[in-house]
Amino acid sequence: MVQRKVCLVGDFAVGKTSLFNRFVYNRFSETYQSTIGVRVQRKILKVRDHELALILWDTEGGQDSTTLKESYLKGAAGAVIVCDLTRTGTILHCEEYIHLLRRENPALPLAIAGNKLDLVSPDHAHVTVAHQVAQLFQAPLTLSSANLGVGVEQLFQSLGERLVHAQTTI
Amino acid sequence: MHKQLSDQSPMTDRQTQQLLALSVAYIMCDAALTIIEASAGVADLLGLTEHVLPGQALTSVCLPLLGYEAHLYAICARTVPDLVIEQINFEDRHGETRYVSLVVLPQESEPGLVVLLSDVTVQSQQQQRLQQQHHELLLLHEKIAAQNTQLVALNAELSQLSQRKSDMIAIVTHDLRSPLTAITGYARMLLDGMYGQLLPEQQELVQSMYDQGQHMRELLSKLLDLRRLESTELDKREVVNLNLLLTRVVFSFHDHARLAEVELCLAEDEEVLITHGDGDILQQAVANLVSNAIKYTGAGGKVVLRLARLTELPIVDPPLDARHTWGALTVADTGSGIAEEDLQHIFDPFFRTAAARMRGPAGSGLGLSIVQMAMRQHGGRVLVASRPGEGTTFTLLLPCDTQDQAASQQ
Repeated sequence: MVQRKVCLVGDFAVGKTSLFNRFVYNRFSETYQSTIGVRVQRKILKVRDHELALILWDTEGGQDSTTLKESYLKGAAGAVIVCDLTRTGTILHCEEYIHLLRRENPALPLAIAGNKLDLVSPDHAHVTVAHQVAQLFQAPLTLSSANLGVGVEQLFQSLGERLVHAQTTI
Repeated sequence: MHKQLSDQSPMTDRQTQQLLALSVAYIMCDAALTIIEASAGVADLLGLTEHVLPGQALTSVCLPLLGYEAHLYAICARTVPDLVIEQINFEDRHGETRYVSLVVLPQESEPGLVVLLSDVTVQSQQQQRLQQQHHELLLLHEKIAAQNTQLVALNAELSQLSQRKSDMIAIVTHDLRSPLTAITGYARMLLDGMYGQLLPEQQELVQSMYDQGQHMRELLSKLLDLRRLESTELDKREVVNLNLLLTRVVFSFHDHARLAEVELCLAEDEEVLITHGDGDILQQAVANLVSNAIKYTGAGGKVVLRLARLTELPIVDPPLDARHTWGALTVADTGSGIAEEDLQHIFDPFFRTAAARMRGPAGSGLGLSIVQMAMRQHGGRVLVASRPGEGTTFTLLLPCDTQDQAASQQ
């Protein structure tokens, strides 16, 4: 079975662990629990009749990309940059994470998750900003809600499909 | 294994011993990343349900190393010194979060690797608690900042709306004043018999027309005053002698009080009190209070004006600045008083008490709003105490100087 390491990165409290838990265990907790270090888990994904094992790395979030331990990113075949649609700063910081990831591997498949969609309306100004950032850096944006389970499967499924074709890793 | 590491590791003996002392488990593997040997604690530390056996692939047992294969081969080949992955966390079989850090080093005696695993749960849990608090504070800070931004925007919008309202009042009142002047003027001419003697019934109708017109003029005038007070900062900072101001007000209402059969008197303190501000506005505020007092005090009643320096500051919210000298200017009447339920509304624009409404259209409901606004502009307060059937006392508190203080400042 093909195995691919995928890192979830982004500022603190954007919902990386919530997306991780929703996708891997289909569970959600209302309580915010700050992540220290990294949590690694395997999740099998079916991509066009093939099975792909995603080795998901839920990394510790900081106030911006400078606190991210770059050693966590080694060997990553793809990455999900998570932002919180209720906090503009986390959306704007996506650019820094993209630069950081692309500095190591310009061809690395990336996806942006605009999380906490359940807390904003789809026409909210922050959603527009997230679309603009995604368009500017040519990284597909998925609007998600780990709370409601919206967009989560779609986020990893679409990244998985790109990973099957991509061979490059950091 | 310990011997191998301490003898031949590229690290010093001391460093290796320290690492081994910190580690609770290890895995040894060959150059193909196949496990040769693993200590008993590995499965427990990695949250595995089965024992780690020789022959297994390192990356199948130690999931976090998956993806690092190129790096691991480089360590074997000694082109890279080591690999450190800190604080890998997982849930153990009891549902508790455990933290493990791992260090990968080359074997010296033969091509291969040593993976050292350390349980860093205790220190990581402490770090997690601190980080959690830090993040929660940052979130709170972000939330407050966002709310502040919203408040600033809301405030700007409200100011704009208030300005529009004021502009509208200014335009309307200005445009109404000219035709009203003509209407009351013509009514006055008719009443004065300039176009012949009116029949008693005509006289009554024209008189009513004139009175209503005058009332509207008064209302418009007060609306303009209120708008002026609301929309501008106090631009006059002249010296205002409050004793003289009270004397002027009493003098101006002398005839009015006599006609209403109300005794109007001034119980003046000997001390002269000076304040700084707009004398016209302050005089108008006091005049509004005296006018109301006479209006709501029946024949035979009494209205007393008093001015005194406060020797003890009353408890008000927000509190008075104790660095100032404060003057209290009171207008007390023996009139009908104000019902308790009305007291909290009497400073609202256009509010009129039930008693006032019974008296007919004579009041605008703006007089006390003007008083309150005038006090705000002068850094003062207005207090009211009333007992229905016994009378009402309004007190204007103003920051003052005694005559001596004023003289020493000059």
